[in-house]
Amino acid sequence: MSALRSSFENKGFTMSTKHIVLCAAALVAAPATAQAQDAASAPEASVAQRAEPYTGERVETPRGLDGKPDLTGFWRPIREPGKPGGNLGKDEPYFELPFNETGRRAHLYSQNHTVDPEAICIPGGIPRHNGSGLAFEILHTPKRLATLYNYNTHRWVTIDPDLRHPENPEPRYFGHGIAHWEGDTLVIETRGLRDSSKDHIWLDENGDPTSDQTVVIERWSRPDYHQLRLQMTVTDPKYYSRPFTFDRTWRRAEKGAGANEYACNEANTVRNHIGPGAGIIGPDGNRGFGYNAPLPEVPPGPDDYEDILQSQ
Amino acid sequence: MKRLDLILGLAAPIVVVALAPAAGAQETYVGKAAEERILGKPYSGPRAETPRDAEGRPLLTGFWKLLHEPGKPDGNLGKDQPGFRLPYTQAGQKALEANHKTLDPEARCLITGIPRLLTTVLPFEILQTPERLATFHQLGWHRWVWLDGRDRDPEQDPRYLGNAIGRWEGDTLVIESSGFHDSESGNIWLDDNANPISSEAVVVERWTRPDFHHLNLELTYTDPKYYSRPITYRRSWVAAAPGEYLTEFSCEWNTPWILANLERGPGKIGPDGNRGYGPDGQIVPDLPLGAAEGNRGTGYWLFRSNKPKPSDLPPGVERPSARSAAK
Repeated sequence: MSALRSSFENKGFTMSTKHIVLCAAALVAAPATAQAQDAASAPEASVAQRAEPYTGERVETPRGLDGKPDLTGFWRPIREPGKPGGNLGKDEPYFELPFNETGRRAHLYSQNHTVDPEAICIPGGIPRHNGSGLAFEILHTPKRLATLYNYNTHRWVTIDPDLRHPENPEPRYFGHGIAHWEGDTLVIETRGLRDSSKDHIWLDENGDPTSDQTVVIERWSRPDYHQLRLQMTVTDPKYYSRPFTFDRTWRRAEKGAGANEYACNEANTVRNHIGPGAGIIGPDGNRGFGYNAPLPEVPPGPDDYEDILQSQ
Repeated sequence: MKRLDLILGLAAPIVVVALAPAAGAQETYVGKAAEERILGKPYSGPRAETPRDAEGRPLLTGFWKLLHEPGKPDGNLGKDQPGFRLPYTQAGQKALEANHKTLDPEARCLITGIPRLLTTVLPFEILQTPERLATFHQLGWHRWVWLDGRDRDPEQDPRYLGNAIGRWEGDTLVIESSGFHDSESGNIWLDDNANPISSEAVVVERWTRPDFHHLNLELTYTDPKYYSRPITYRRSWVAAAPGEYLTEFSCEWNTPWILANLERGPGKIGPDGNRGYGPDGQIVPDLPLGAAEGNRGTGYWLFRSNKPKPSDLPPGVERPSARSAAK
């Protein structure tokens, strides 16, 4: 049963009901679910573990073979009190992004038609993953960097100041990430993303739309060993009336912790049974359970998913 | 959608033509043209030194293309065995027969396991950092390896990719993996040919990079449940051209449609030990890989052009319009 236990701990229960659906469908029996909530205190720490800002003695930024800050590591997001998670509008008035009219309609379309791409194990994409409540890992080498996510997906970035984006890039969930250094800041520019109006992609957990015109500029820095900072600007003239920014800090997880295998696709045969959209977004800007609301004491058991299981 | 036109044109003889790529779409490569792009070419330039990290250890980081051995099958862990056939135990023989009745896990986008990922004909990429290494593979999977000197967890979980711990023996990176899922589950194969893997399997990989351009693997596979003796397997890769890297592939069609319609098993294994990609002896899949649309796809063998196809497409795949079909 240890595989089941571990799978549950890795499920990221802070996110939403979608994972419960997947868990229950994939694993059938779920006796160990209560443990998921205790994952933060479990010795094999979950990817959903909360991180508090580091207050200990400063430890120098590690540097790579090229002398640049080394972003490699397993990173846990630090939560901001009063701010929603998974919502790229966390710093906007009412936690709402500046949609234009087309964007408002694209948002409505997502909410009514698009099953959460992550719930059916499609790459979550950029910038969505930067707003995620789950820890992620970076492998950083001088020319190539990968960000690796919980659902067994990864995003590639090529670090090369002379590289330019193709004029007509093939659309991707993670787009085409090209980076250069500005001092000790790694600047990643991503273009060539898929479009919510025709593809299974969302801008964030809340089902906000993103378009084929989206440009994401991420400015990553590691001011010391324990901190990873992101200043991100998203520009999408198709769906939004102005560029918006999203800033966040992650804390280096304890040594020896890391991402692991997560067999997401085992369960995506249930896609037809998952409703569209992100669900109701509360006035706190959060989707579903949110960060602070407790999970149900007893998760839905296999009986609640009988129709799904029989249909497989 | 050009690719789908080809797929659906079953009645017509398959003619390899240069298809003009749609805007922003990948180009299509069939047969020798696909081989040209997928396989590595022997390197004959001047020797360049092995890159090393701050500790002086070889760095395996790079995008690696297979140096295919003429006359040897890919995707078959029995490549170096007599008759390209593995030494099955009785249980192994039974498990093999069972696998021939299951869907290729890769074709339905389950995680492709180890050692299967290392037997494929497809290129792969490595990123190596001092404590952590990952191998990245073409269908979008990555496999983690710890290099931090940890001990094996006695309660490790079963995984498709096993639990990989690496250590250095001189300039050789030795990765030992155990704790695999078992083919009994119907979800994992040892290699492309549907050979079985058991929960008792231990995989030892010995990786070397003798110079900048070459990467060598000596793999020993021990699995007393399904095989009567350990199996050794050797392979070499060559560094891809500078600036060439692995790109995104989203394997996403593990759908009821796939489960209901896909042909079971690996198909016929020829006397050459190859599962093969078609009647013309093609040794690589066509590109784009398994694509249903751009870089979204299913396991690669479903959509190869010279194999009979199910008559329908997965839900969510745009059907070619009458206009494009008439072209």
